[in-house]
Amino acid sequence: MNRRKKTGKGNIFPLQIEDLESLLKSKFKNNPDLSFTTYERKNEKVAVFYIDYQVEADKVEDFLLEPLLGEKIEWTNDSILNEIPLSSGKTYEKLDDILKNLLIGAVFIYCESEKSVVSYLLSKKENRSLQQSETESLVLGPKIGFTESMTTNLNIIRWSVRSEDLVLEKYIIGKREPREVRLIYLKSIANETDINTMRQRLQELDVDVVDDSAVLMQYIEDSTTTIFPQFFTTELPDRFSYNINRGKLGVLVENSPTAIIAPSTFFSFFESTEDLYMRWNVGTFLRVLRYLSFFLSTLLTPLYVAAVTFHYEIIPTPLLINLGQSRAAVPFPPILEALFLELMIELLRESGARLPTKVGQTIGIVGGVVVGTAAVEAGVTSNVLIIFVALSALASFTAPNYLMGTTVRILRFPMIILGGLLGIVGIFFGASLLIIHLLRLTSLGRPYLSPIYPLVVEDFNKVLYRLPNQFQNQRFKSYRPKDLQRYANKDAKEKKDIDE
Amino acid sequence: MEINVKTRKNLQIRAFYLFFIVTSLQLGVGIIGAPKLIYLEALQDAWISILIAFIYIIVVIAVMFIILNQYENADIYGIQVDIFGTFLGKLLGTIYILHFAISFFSILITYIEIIRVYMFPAISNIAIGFLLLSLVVYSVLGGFRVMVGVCTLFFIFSHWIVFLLVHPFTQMDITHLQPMFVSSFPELLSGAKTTSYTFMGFEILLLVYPFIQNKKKARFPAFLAISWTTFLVLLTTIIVIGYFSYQQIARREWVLLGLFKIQNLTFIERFDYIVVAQWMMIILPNLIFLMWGITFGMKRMYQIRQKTTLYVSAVIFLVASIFFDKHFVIQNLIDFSARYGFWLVYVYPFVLLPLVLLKKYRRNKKAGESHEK
Amino acid sequence: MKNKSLAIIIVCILVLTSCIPTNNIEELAIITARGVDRIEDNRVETVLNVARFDPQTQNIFATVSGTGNTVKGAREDAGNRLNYELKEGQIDVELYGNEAAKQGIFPYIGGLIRDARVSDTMKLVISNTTAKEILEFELEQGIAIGEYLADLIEIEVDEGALPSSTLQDFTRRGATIGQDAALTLIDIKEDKPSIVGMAVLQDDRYVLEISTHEGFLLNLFLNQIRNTPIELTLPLEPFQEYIEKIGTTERERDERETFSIQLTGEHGNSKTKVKNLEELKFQTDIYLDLEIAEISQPISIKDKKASDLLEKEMEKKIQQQFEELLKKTQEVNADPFGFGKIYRANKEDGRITPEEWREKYPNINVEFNVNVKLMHTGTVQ
Repeated sequence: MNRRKKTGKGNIFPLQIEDLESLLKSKFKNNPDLSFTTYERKNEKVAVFYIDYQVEADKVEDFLLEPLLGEKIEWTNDSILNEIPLSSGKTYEKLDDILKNLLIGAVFIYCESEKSVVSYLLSKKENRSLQQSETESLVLGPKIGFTESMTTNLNIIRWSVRSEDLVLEKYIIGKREPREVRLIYLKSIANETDINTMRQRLQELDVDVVDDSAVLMQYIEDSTTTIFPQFFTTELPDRFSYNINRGKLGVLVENSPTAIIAPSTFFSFFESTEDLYMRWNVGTFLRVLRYLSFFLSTLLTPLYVAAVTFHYEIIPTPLLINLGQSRAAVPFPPILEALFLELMIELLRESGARLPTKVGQTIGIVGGVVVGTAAVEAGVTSNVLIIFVALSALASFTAPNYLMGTTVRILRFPMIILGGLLGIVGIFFGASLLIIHLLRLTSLGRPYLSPIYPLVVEDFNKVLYRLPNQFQNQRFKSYRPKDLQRYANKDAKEKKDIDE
Repeated sequence: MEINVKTRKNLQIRAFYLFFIVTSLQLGVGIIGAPKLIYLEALQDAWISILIAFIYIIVVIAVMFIILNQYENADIYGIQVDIFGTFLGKLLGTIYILHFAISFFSILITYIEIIRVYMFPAISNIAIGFLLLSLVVYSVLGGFRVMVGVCTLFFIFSHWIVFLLVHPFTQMDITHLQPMFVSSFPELLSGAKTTSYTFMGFEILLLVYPFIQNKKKARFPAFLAISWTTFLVLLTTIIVIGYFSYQQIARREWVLLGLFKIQNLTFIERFDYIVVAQWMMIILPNLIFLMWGITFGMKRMYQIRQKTTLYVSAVIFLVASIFFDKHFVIQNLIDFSARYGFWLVYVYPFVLLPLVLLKKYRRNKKAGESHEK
Repeated sequence: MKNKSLAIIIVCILVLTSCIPTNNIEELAIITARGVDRIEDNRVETVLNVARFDPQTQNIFATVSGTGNTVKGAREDAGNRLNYELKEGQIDVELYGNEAAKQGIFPYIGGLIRDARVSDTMKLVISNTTAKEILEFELEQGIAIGEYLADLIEIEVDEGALPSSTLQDFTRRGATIGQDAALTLIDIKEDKPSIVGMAVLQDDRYVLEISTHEGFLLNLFLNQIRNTPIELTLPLEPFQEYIEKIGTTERERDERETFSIQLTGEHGNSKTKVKNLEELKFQTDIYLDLEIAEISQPISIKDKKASDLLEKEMEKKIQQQFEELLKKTQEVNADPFGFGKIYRANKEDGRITPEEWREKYPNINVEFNVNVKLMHTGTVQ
């Protein structure tokens, strides 16, 4: 019996209340928060135990203790389960279960000589109220973001995807510290292979603890070495439901306000739901702008470095003279100058992100304006380069996804080095390497660069640009959803003459 | 050795990618020098030579398709073993591998030379060679689908160069193309023959055919690819003839790159530099598929792991590139590659065709006989 | 494993490429204009207008010169006088002194064509004095003579007033059988370097100077023009009845025999065909749509008759000018029009040697048909 107690796997009851108390106290040795009370009536004894701050004290008083100590009730498990006006009553026999549930805020009632213990989940959870997301912001569209509470998040999702098709599979991940993980998709649309792959990855995950959804994402990603994020993350329920509605899978992790969306392509990191809220032509413009800024951000400074280091011929004379004049006093080679400035911008961004909002702004101004001007005046950098660096930094922030934005900024550094060492040849080498690398990546087994490769021209209008709604009647073909059609194609408009 | 190639379903590609594969393999370093070579042979009637070559290539491709369609899912290595027996078949297969290797190497060193002449005279062959080969190895390691992706994307990303031709096109002197039809037929033919090196690359069809999903639709993209490359070669040749004078063409080495010297925007000019760098994306698909052809052949015939061949041959090419840094040595190699490739690519299929048909006829007869029994 | 191989690749790239010599612009003296003169003892003097970015001095442009037996040698000599590395990649203007041009410019150009770094759009210019005199000319502070010349020519070429004379044009026209090149001619006029006309070359030798107006005619023959200013001088005689008799006395009017008319060529092109191959007869049709900008005499173009008369007079004048120009070039046996090219293109076998054409060119016969259309007469009639 002792052995059974230690392992906690078997039934430990029936037990004397004193024994139970000492057993629990020994488990919570350094934990003074276990409240263990014994009530006596005639010859019967009943013990009520829970962790103070994990339960709603009011409810324990009103719905549990009051009826329990009343006259009507018999102190047996059956009658307790019947009489107490709470629906979440359950019985447990194993010590492990008791301990696990104690931690999430269950109240236990043990009637001496019973073979199990009754428990009610009266957990109290401190939650942040629903707030606007800080990392992703929309000008148009719903503003709320996910919170740390799984129930709140599920609640939001249910409200935004109101379909009986919505499946919310539950997984418990983490050996030492189990967490609830939800796999969410639309049964009738999401691709079966994708679901199975995701299920398998979640089930086979063998880790002690999942700290956050971003961590979970890295556990289940296809490639661990790449710099590119392979799953899209979002804090915005509207972006989440947009993707779910189009047949992707979502993963939510308890205690994390970020949801994972899979499979994702390179291009989905540049999509914003705002493009949908805008008119299609405006949306197209914004999207093209974002792709443009990707190129600008990765190539502008490297091209400058390449041109002034090796290829003065490709700059027209008037511009060359401007560049030369601004470079004249700078004592470093262009590559060092560019790396130095890029590093400075990164420092500014990082310190701005770490500091409180108000100080952060000041740092931005001080860093950007004062240090920048001083650097030019001191002759450490050229002012043309400052413009380029600032422009490319700005461009990198247009990516709607923070993970991709960071990746883009980091990509610049090897590009600058290549441009500084090998000129344009180096840049094209870097670009080729990047393209080949992207081609090799997959997300949940689906090609990362789709719909460019594999070429699915039908999807271009959802990914690269947008067309009016009559052309949007199909879902992404490249994800192979079960149901491709979103709505019936509108019949072509009758051809009308003027003034008819 | 298996005659047919067993391809996993997820390695297969849709037929229209054949367009990108064939175009990417045909366009390479050849087109940079081709206008000059054709012009020197056929003068202003060079375009007729190109059209003759085009018609001939269509016939060759048709023959290749007939040969391939006699088998269920075979490539050239398997077919040769089937026709000529193990020893001779493997020998011929090895010749093919050598052809790929020589083409690979000639492309590699020509491009290195172009970079050295246009940009970095001081850079060592091994540095650029290392860069290119590392890209080749990295993409071949990605497998067949990645390689096809490289072809497709690099095709898309490099074709903006065509727009640069607009400016020289407007500056053409039409009288350079006149009078027409002056070259004799032998001259036209020898002009057509000089295109052989440029147009080479479609023989990859004999290798990638088993990887195509819907084989029935494979013809159209292949012919489209040939037409597109022919169009580009035709266009560049005509522009070169109209834009340059005879002496200029005769004296310049890479005459096509001369066309990109005059465009200018307010912030950038001298596009020849950019085009030279961009050309990396045009030759890479060549290198990648030729390298793959080598590794795949070694695996098919000698059961050597593809990775082993890949690494070993990459190192060999890298080391060999050190010794090919003189212009005329490189030219000799290209000439050799062109001559060798000519027989293998343009003539050999016609030899193979009757043999394959004969074999099939016999086999059918035998099958029919056994059926009757 | 993957990271390790990536690290190896990066290290290799760093090691392999660190030996590429860089061209950091602040360490270069970028040649924007180059002048070549032939001096005594068959030596060459080269004058280089360079931009170098010296933080110590205000003016980024400098002129250096050097002498040597070849252009290359002279350049090395000039380079020795400069603490920056000379680079040819940005030459906008290449200027040849009178003497050098008369002896032939191919020796100087050969090196340019061979060097892949040199731009094809650089302008080749011939100076009526020495190149040195023009390149060392002091302009107002801050303006580089090289760029000044390049802009000067570019404006004229854009307007259509002169045929362009870039390196590519020169090598193409000069090397085409049956055509000679014409380059822009520059001289110091009214204390400033300015365009004085075109230099017609025979092969690579400067043999004939033509005026800017003749340069325009040449351009009209070679290219299409659009919105180009033209000036013509016509005899006054046929217009007697249209002269407004206001403000001037009879006597004043009679003194003048000609008047000049300022026009804008809205559109103009030409077409040349061979009329008779054996007899070397050509026919050139020239079409010009014109607009009157200014007339020096108060002539009123009030009706169609007047307008027809003006058109006819202008046609006659332009035709006459073309004929004169042709005659001039025939005298020096240089064919800037490229009649030889057209001859070759119409010949059955399409083959002709340069020498053959040199023999034939003085004997060719060209019929110039000028068709002028007066589109508008401006705001007054």
